[in-house]
Parts: sequence; structure tokens; C-alpha cells
Amino acid sequence: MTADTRSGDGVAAADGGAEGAAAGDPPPPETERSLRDLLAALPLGVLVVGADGVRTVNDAAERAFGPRVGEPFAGVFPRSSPGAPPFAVRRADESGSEPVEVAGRAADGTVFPVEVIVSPGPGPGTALVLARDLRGAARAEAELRRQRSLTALLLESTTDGFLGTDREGRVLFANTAVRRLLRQRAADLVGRPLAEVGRRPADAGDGAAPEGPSLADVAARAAAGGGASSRVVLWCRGTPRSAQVTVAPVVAGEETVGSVLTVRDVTEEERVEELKRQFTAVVSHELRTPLTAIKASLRLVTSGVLGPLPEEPARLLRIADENADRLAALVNDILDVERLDAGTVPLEPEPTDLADLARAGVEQLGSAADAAGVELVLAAAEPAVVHADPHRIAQALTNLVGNAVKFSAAGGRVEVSCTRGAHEARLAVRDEGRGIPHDQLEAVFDRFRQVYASDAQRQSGSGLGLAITKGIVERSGGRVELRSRLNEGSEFTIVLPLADTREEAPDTTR
Amino acid sequence: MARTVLVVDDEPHLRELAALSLERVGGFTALTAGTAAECLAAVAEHHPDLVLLDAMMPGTDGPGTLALLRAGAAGAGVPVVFLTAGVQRHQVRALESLDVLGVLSKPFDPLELPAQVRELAGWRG
Repeated sequence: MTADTRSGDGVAAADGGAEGAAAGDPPPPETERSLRDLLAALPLGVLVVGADGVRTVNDAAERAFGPRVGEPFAGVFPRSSPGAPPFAVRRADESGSEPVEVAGRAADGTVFPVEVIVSPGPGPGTALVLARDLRGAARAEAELRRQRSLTALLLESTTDGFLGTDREGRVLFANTAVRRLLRQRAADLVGRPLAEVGRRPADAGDGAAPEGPSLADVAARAAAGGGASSRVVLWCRGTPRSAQVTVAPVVAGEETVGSVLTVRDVTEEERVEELKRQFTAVVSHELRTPLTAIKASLRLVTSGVLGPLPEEPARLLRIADENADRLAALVNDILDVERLDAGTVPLEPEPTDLADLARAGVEQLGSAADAAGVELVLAAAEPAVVHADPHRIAQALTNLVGNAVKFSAAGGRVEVSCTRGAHEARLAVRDEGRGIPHDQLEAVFDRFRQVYASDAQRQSGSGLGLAITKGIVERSGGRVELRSRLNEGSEFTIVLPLADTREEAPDTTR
Repeated sequence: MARTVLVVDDEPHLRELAALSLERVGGFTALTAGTAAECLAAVAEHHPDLVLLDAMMPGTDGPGTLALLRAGAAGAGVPVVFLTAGVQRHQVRALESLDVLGVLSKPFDPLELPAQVRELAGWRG
């Protein structure tokens, strides 16, 4: 039995150093013997190394590496090998509790994977190396451990909060993000019923924040097959925070064994949304009122009712008038986009015949088309009644017809048609313009987007029209289709469900 | 003799522009007031043929001013037309349901405003 001599060295080293600088009394003989036996029986390899090389190994280490006492460290652990990171002895005063996979070399020269933990050794300038031979089953075990620790690391590192519960709704784990949000330690959360997590304290002032659903309510709703995502007010040590909570069941086999809640702090987002709402309200009033005054003043002056103007001032005032119009249109467009975003665009749906809107649209934009030398025609007007806000759909159509005229060359033709299918009404605007490149078909609906923004034919406009059109139509329960061929033209179609085929009126106002 | 229209609006510039439009484009005599109290005083003093009343004013708003007019002897029978920036039709319908000749929308076109007022009032020429 070799363990007696070798591990005896190790134990002696642990007592005060390999140099024999023992401090205090040596342990009683029976304790020393049982420590030796323990070290010999340990399935983990134990090596004590110093600058002069390997000083001590136990049985398990000898089984893995062979008899190596006295050999340089690099002989046992080649600094690098394929598939393993370079490995250097840590300084003895530096503790490293994380296992690292490195290459080990046996006495016969075989290189194999080893998992090591290096920590300061029992004497100055020494290191203690715990080594696990990763050949065979140990390899899979180590892999599993690594995967687990990686999963835990990911869960702890993510900025979204995660709460896991068992099937009784008790908290099993809470990651760093959720603990930070709730301002609670893991020990305060684990084991608690979900119903008690983040609840309003009894001493919170009245009206401090709306009560709303609790985490347990959302989890119960998800379990019952209802909406699994909800806004929740979480009380975090007396401070209410808004969180978007999504619940997913944890299923093992065919059994639901618990649930996992994703908790995202949206307090700041809500604050920004509120600022946007206020901004919209301010823009709405504070920008429009002076614009109205400017418009009305210019209109009165340029009309000549206040007396004739010399040619040059008159021309400049007409320029001011036109630009005030553009500014007013831009303000209206920006407000529309904001309200479509916020879902607060006022829609007042009623039975609406799209054929009427097609006729009105052609009539309304007739003079603009004439001025541009574009032929604007009503190609079809089949009666097709939909349930939608006529003013808003007219606005959407006007945007499409206006664009078609704007992007048509003089002598071009724009066709507006209303046709009725089995279930849908189609309001189409077709032009013979230069078309939209295939890769930009989606992007044309983005805000402030003009396909030909950089070229000389750039047209004036806010770049919001198509975004507004799409928003209005989609909020009305329909869609906008776009077909386009380069140099042949484009066709935009507003598609809405026919009124009599709708099963249920969607709630389009909020 | 020219008809007299009282313009009630809290925005002084819009008030002035509406008055200018009514006088220079429409040929009316225009008076102005900036608050409900000024409106009541002007109606009592000048007995206008029509009141063009901004629906949204700080303090007593358009409907509130209308109620005060109708409650008093001087304003009980004066024709009123609302001027509103309310974009929602249900808001417009709510105003139309009150004791008024009609509702005109803001921003107004100063070249059209007199004709719109004349039509609602049923005045010729």
C-alpha cells in the first residue's frame, strides 16, 4: 500500500508545510491514520505541487497519472493540448474554486482530459490540485455538471426576471433579475406561495397604485387556458413597479409540475409611453393653434380681400401659405401615427360603401392629377359595404391615390377600383409609375420612408402616409396588399371584410 | 343694416381672424369676447344676431356658456353656432344635440366661414 508514505507527506504538509515548518502540536496518531486512510480512499486525485515539481499524490492520482512524485508539473499537465485550454499553475495564494478542464499526461505518455480545481497548497509556494479523470463515465457526468452550471449562469445573467414555482404555486427559484426587482433575497422568496410575492403592503397609502392582478392571478389564468401574459403591479419593498409577466407551464412527461414566470420590469417604458401621450396632447393643441392663426392670416392676405398686394410680396406670401399647409399636414400625420401606435386613434365604424369612397377619392384628387398631367380614372365601382370608419378609410385611400399621382410621370394613368369578392371588398389604386424594388416592398410602409429618397425625383411629403394607411386599415380589421413591378407600376389594395360576412364586430375603438 | 355676429374664443388671434373674416369677407359687423362673462355682457349690451362660440375654452367652456346664455333673458333666444377643434364625430354630435344652429369645425377657412355661418343661420345674401 503506497498511500501510507505518499499521503503521509500530504497530511504532514497540510499541517504546516512541506518544508516541515510545523506550527502547533502534531495531530494524535489515530487522527493522522484516519486522515491517511481517507485520502487513500478518496476517488478524487489529490496532488500537492511546488516549484520543484510534484511532491505528493494520493492513490486516485497515481491510478490516473502513474507514479509521478518528483516530476515537473508540466510533465503531468502539458500546458496545452488539442481540445483543452492552456493550463498554468495558479499562484499559490490565488484560490480557484471553479473546476477547469485541462489535459493530463500519464506516465506512459497518454494524454487525457482531467477536471482540476487548484487552490493554495499546504505550504508556501505550493498548490493543491484536485483532479478528476474525465475518461469514461466521469466525462458525461462532468459535461452534465457543466451544462447545469451554464444553465444556472444564463438564468442568473439574463436581465429578465424568472420565477419558478412547483405545482402548488410555491416559489422554487428566483433569479438575480427578479430578486433585484423585488428587492428580496432568495431565502425570502423560495418556498413562499406565489400569491404572497410582490403584493401591496397593508400600510401602502390609498390610491398609491392600482391593485390589478397578482402574480398568482396571472398564473391561475394561464393554467385555466386564458391569457398567459399580463401587466402586474409588483410591490418591491414599498415601491410599486410595473411588470409584464408571462407564464408558461413546466411539463414533465405529460404532467404539469409547475410553472415558470418571466417578469420584465416595464416601469420605465410606461413612463416613456405617458410622456409620449402628453407630448401628443401638447403637439395637438400648442402646434395646431398657432398654425391655424398663420393659415387664416395668410389666406386672408393672399386672397386679396384685404386689398391688392404687389406681385413680389404676394408671391412670397403664397409660398408661406403653401408651406403652412405642408406643416399642418405633417403635424396631423405625426399625430395620427402616434395615436395609431398608442391605439387611441378615434375610429367610428359604421356601414360604409367603399364604392362611394372610391368615387369621392377620384373626384377629390382630380384637380391635383390634372395639375400633374396624370389621368385619374375610376375603373370599377361595385357596391361593397364594409363596417369601418368612412372618414379614416377615405384618408387611407387619399394617401394611396395621392402617392400614385405624385409618383406618376406626366401622361401617366392612375386607376382606382372598388370590387366585391365573396367575403372581402377590395379598394385598389394602380399606377404606371416606376415601381418599387422587390426588396423594398415591406419597407415602404415604414415611417419616414421614401423609396427614392436619395434621387432627384424625390417627392415632398412626410413619408408617413403609407404607415398611416396601413395602420388605419389594420385597425379596421383589414390589410393592405402591394404588388409592384419595376418600371411597370404598383398596385396598392385596401382589403376589408364585407359587412354582412363579419361574424362579430371587432372593437376598434379604445 | 349689416348683421352682427359675436365671436367668442379664448385665443385672441383666432378671435381677431374670425372677426376679420366675418367683416371683410362676409360683410357682417363683428364683435368679440374672450370668456363666458364677456360673452354674456356683450349679448346683453349689443344683442347680436348670432353668437359664434368656441366649444373648448378654459374655465366655462362652450356648452357651459350656452347654458348661461339660455338661462338669462338677453341670451335666451340668440342663435348660437359652435366652433370646435373636436375631431371625433361623437363629440360633434354631442354639441349638435344642444340648442344650437350647428357646429363648424376648426381650423376654419376664413374665406368660407361667413358663407357657412350664413347658411346655418338661414340668412340670404
